[in-house]
Parts: sequence; structure tokens; C-alpha cells
Amino acid sequence: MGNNHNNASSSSFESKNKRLRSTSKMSNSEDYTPVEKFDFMEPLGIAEDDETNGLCFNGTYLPEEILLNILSYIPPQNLLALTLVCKTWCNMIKSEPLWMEVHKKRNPSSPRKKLPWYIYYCYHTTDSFKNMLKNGNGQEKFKHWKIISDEGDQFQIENPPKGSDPLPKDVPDFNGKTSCFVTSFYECNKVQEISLKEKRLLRYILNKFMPHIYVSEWMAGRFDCGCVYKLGIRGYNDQYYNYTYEELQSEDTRLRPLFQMSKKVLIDQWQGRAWQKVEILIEEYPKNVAVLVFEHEGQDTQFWKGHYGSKMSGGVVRVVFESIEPLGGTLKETNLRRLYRSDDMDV
Amino acid sequence: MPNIKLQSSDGETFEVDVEIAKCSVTIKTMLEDLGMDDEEEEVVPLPNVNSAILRKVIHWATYHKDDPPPPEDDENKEKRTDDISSWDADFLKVDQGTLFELILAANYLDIKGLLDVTCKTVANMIKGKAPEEIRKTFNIKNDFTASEEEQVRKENEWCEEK
Repeated sequence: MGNNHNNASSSSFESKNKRLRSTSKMSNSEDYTPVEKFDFMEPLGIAEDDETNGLCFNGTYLPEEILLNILSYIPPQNLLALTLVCKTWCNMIKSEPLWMEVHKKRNPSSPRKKLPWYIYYCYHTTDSFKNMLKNGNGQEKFKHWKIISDEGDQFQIENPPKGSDPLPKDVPDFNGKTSCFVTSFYECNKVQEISLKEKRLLRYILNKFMPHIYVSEWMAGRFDCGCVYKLGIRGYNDQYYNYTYEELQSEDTRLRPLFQMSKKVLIDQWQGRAWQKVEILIEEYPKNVAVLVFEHEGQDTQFWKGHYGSKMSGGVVRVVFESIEPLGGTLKETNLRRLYRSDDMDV
Repeated sequence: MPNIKLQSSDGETFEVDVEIAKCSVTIKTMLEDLGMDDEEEEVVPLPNVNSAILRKVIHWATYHKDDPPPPEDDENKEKRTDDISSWDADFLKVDQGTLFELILAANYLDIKGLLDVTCKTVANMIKGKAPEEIRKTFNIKNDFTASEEEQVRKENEWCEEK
């Protein structure tokens, strides 16, 4: 029995490594300014005799605040294209007041803070501030996931979860889905790589402002069996793509994560049926994060045949500016928040 | 309901129900500040609005007089640009000049509902158009130098996520 498990695990490692190598060939068409060297342009100077250009609509002059009001009704993802109309529009679109109005019209209750326009642009046009993790409920089977160990009776998807409560209702993390992943009687571990390679603006923002990186997932056990669960997050620079996943995991690996953090939950027998949210907040990290690796792991503690291990669903990885949307109190009150630096980490 | 008289910039007077006139925050404040609540034959001068536009504004305000007051910083989740009622859409089937005059009047008279719906209408005229078409539509000059335009274009591309 034990041998079988070992064999299964090593062969799955090999196949995973091959997959990792093949997906690691990213398009290298970077004729763009590298993130480290990029800087935003200053507002364009406008000649005095041209000041009303862009505010005169077929001869009717509209004050700036009206143009701002008009533009705030344009879908955020279409605004940048309008910078090419004229300098006045360009300066307005690349400025805070417009984006604060855009933000206010879409999130009336959240507080508005003065942050550069491109942070709001990133917030409203990408998934970075919402959720970068894909297929967090297993609705697309194991798509986007790399299974690292798949022991016992392997990972499975349950819809709805068996032996536990159903997923809590009205929680945005689940996207209206009712399914979850479930683990077995030996270690089941999988990861999802979130590449920031194409997210130049996000990387620029991470380097310059170091917003929090927030990770969470819901977990539960069965009503009749104890289990363990682990949630983890690691960040790497772009050298990540030069290694296989196995190399990255090995003891003498040359590439250390820029940061890593994990949280374990142990559920005793008869205690597990309710869903709970496990959260990690990374508040400080080195520059040049290029990959985020979300990891979760679980198994049951009683070695019962079948799928009695921990269940997980609704994973979230996102960037948070507390000045835009304060995090709830739960994270602050627990002792989860710790600072990680590349030089005092234990790998 | 008592009426008040509003006088347009070109001297025409309009008799309007006070409650309808008060959808303009500017007029409401004026009446309160000046204590013009009584049935005196006062005339409120509106030097920034001509009679054609004032007639339209009164028409709009009369139709919307029973609307619930706009919530302060409203809890409407997502504001959309395509939620213009069919009555408003018909009402705003006017030439560009009139539309912009209405915006200026709504701004001056401080009528939030009218300002929002007119601004949304202009936003709808902008949506889906290329910069060159927008310049043509509103008679805006392309005042970029070639190098400035290139710089803006590059920065935009850099910001966009593939």
C-alpha cells in the first residue's frame, strides 16, 4: 500500500514537471519599458490660446467639471483610448479627480483616498484587486491547477460538499458556485501559479506602493472525521520560470521565494462540518514579485478510505489598498500578520 | 399650489408651480434666502438661461416632479450609462447645441437629475467612437505634436493588460 503511494507520487511529480516546463515558455515580446525603469509622464503643457480646446463642444464651452462628469460615465476600460482626442482630455483622463469620480460612481460606500489615477485604473479594469485565482471551486475540474501530490484516493470535486454544511450563501468568493475540492487519507496538495508577467502595471504598483497581498480560502471537514488543512502563498521573481517545480521545492534550491507564508488548521473528529475562512495577509515584501503561487493541502487524520479529508473552496488572491477598501477586523485581531523579508526567511 | 415667475435671459417670463421650480437647488436656495415664499408678485431672474432652454427645463421638471428626491451619495450600486428612461431619451432627441445648453442650464440651476441624464447622453455619443470621430463630432482640434501623441500611445499600451 505504502509503496503504491510512493510510486504514484513520484510519477505524478515527473509528469507535473514536464507540464511546468512546457507552460514556462512565456511570450518574450517585451519591447516595452521594463517595470523597473518605467515612469508615468507629466501632464502635457497646453498653449494659452488653446486652453478651451477639448472643452468647447461645437462652440459651446463646458466647464472642466462637466467634462469630468461626462467621462465618468464611460466604461473605465475604454477611457485610456480617449486620451488621444486632445491634450485637455488626456490630462484629465490621466489624473486623480476623474478616477475618484469613476470609483465613487461604482463604489459609493467606500472611502475615497488620493491615490494616483493608474491605481484606480488597475482596480477597475483588471482582476488584480478582485481575484486573480481561477477555478477556485473546481467548477472546471482541475483546470489551472498543478497537482503536486495526489495520494490516498486522490483529490476529488464534490458538488455539493458531502458530510459537511453546504457552502455559505451570498459569499462573493464562491461566485455563485456550490462545489468544493476534497482531500483523501494521505497528502493531497496542489498549487496555482499566478503569473504577473503580463500585468506590468500591477508589478509597477507592487514595487512602488507595496499594497497588501491578501489570500484566503474556505475550508471544512466532514462531520464524522478529523482532518488537517494548509493554505500557503509564495512570491517569486521572474527567475521562477527557469526552474521546475521540483527544483523549487528541493532543500538546496538556488531560488528562494521572495516571501512565503502559510497557515494550518487542525480539525478534531466531530468538529468539522462548518465552513471557515482562512486568511493570510502579506504586508511587506521585496520588489520585483513576478509570480504568486497559491498552495493548499489537506488530508484526513484517521486514514479512512475514500474522501474524508479537508474540503476547500472559494480561494482568493488579490491586492488590497486599505485606503481604498479597509479589510475587515478579523485579520487584524488575530495574530496572522507577520512581516516577511527575503533575508530572514526559513525556507 | 402657489406659482412663481421665472424670467429668462431674453426677458420672457414663465409661471411655474413653486414645488416644480424648487427642483432647482439654485432657485430653492434663492427663494429661501430672499424669503420669497409668499404670494408676492416676485419675478426670479435667470440671466444664464434663454427662453427656449428654460421652456425645456420646465417641461423636464414638470414631468419629473413626483420623482423620489435623489439620494445624497446614493447607494445605487453600479451607475450605468444606458439607464436613461425612454421619456428622457425622447426628451433629449435635440440638436447638439440644445443638449449642451441644457447641460449648462442644469449645472447653473443645480438640477442633479437633469445634469446626470444629459451628461450620460453625451457619454453615449462618445462611447464606441475612435478619437478621430470624437474630434469630428464635437469639432475638437488635435493639438498633440507627433512625439507627444506617440508618448501617450506608448504609455497607454504599457498600462494595458494583455
